[in-house]
Amino acid sequence: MTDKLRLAGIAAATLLALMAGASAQQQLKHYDSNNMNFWTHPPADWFLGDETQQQKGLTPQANPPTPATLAQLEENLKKIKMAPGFKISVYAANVPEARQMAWGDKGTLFVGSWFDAGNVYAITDVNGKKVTHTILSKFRVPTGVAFHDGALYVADVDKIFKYDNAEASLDKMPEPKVVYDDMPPYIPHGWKYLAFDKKGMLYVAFGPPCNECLAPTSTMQVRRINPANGTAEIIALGIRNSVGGDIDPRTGDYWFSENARDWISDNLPSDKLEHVGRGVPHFGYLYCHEGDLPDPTYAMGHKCSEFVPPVYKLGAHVAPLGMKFYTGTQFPAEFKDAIFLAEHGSWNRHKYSGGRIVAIIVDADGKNPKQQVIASGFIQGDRTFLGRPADVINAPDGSILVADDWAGAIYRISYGK
Amino acid sequence: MQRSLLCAFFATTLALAPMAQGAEDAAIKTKLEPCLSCHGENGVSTLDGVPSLAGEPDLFLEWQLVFFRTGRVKSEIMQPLAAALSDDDVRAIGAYFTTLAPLKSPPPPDDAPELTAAGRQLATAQHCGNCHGDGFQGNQAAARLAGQREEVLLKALHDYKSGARVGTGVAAMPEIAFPLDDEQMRALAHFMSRQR
Repeated sequence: MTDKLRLAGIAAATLLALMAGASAQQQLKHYDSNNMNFWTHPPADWFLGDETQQQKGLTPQANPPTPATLAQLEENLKKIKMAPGFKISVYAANVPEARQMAWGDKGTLFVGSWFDAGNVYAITDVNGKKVTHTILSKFRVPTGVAFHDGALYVADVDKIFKYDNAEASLDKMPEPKVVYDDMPPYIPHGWKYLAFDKKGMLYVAFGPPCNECLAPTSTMQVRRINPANGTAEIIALGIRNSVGGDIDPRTGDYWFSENARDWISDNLPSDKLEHVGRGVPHFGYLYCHEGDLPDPTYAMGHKCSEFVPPVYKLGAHVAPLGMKFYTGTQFPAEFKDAIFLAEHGSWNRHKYSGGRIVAIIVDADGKNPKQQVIASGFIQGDRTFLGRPADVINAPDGSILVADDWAGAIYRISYGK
Repeated sequence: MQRSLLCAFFATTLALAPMAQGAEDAAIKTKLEPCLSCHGENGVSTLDGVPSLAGEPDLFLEWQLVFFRTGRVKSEIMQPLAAALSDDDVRAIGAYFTTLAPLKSPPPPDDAPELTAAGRQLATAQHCGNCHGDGFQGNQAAARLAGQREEVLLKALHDYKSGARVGTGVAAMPEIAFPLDDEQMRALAHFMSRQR
């Protein structure tokens, strides 16, 4: 134990020395990310390719090798601060690297996962207890799941799969049909999130395979895809890494969260909440960030005024991921049609930000946004994760569920009861 | 310095539930028998190519078992064994071996002192201690190198260089191993195996 504290102390002291500028100038890692070789054969640390002296040393943390135990989760949740009246509890433990969630018609909760596992899970109720089944495996990064008309949809990096009659087949899932694969093959920022609208169209974002680069034209966009026949339309351009979006029940418009670029600074640029209104909006990437910050290298003569600004600046490095418009009646009336959003928490910031569930109350046309923090404390201290929220979903009883891909668990946030 | 910061981010938050050592040992004994039969009754291996596990950091051990279980690291022997392990088993096995005393008996007379000297210099230049500890005793997800079998260390370096092994997400080891030549890897393996 003393060794660990001492090493942590050494690491912390070194970090402080770096921040004080006391260290000698070090070689900065630089990758040229404007070429096909980088996109198809990214180095293992591709996200470090634009590092700066000021932020050198910041790097993503590796998830724990196994999910947290129920006992550990309950300890962790004691440290989570909730907005007045809201409570948080464990819905299901042992859901490794839990990412997007989707309800089946019969109450099955399907859950996608992050790297390493490559699994898709189904959580069912067995004699009052939640049981997690691994129903599919051997994907690369099956973060995105959705359910529509009896079928489970799973999005891997470059394919969307459809499994018919999924809930009746949990023990032996059918062979999937590939409903869409006109998709770029690049893994960096290639992990997907799925949103259905009432007509059965799928909304999917495609991110650039880099931090900041003149990425392939098949990326940096949101498409509306018809899984029935594989046709698609581009509905938004100029986006970077979006892993969360939902249809506004008031208008049918698509809204989404977006992670802005790294390696400018701890406080710039802000991550964003966007609204796709009329036309095919261009939200600025790679030329302009957060609506008002021209890229230091890639502005390429553009002015930020040419692009559509975000509805709301969520904060730098909060890492917004899954989001849903609240459709229940359990929460106070002010939260009707509010956006509940999972913040994954930083990697490219000396003191991590995010690691919360927030609610953004905003008009249907994007005006008057107001944010309230619903749950905070998944980040403790400067850089310690108790968990990392990755998605939210409305539950039938009016509560919401939260997926945590760090602790490998699903939580339930309720109000009142 | 870069790697000390990388190392800080190996400090994960997954604090394990406290174990009642005696009760846990009894429960896990049957699961451990296949481990001990190759890795040594006290976790110190006497078999060529089989790593010692005694005194390895808990998280490092858990990661290796998970890598074998998912097939991310290929091993015809370890994969079926790891496939049978639950997450609770993985945690219990990690917790067990980490408490065993690592190899303390002094190394045999040095049959390649020039390799040891070269290895010591390289270990300083490569900042191995930033993640693996000043005495290379390991920390969090970074393995104990001191006293590990020389051929095991050498194979690990080759595997990181070739990409057969990637390590945990931050990709530090492939970056470090990639520019090393055969002579440098032999020197590091020889030096580390002789540390206590």
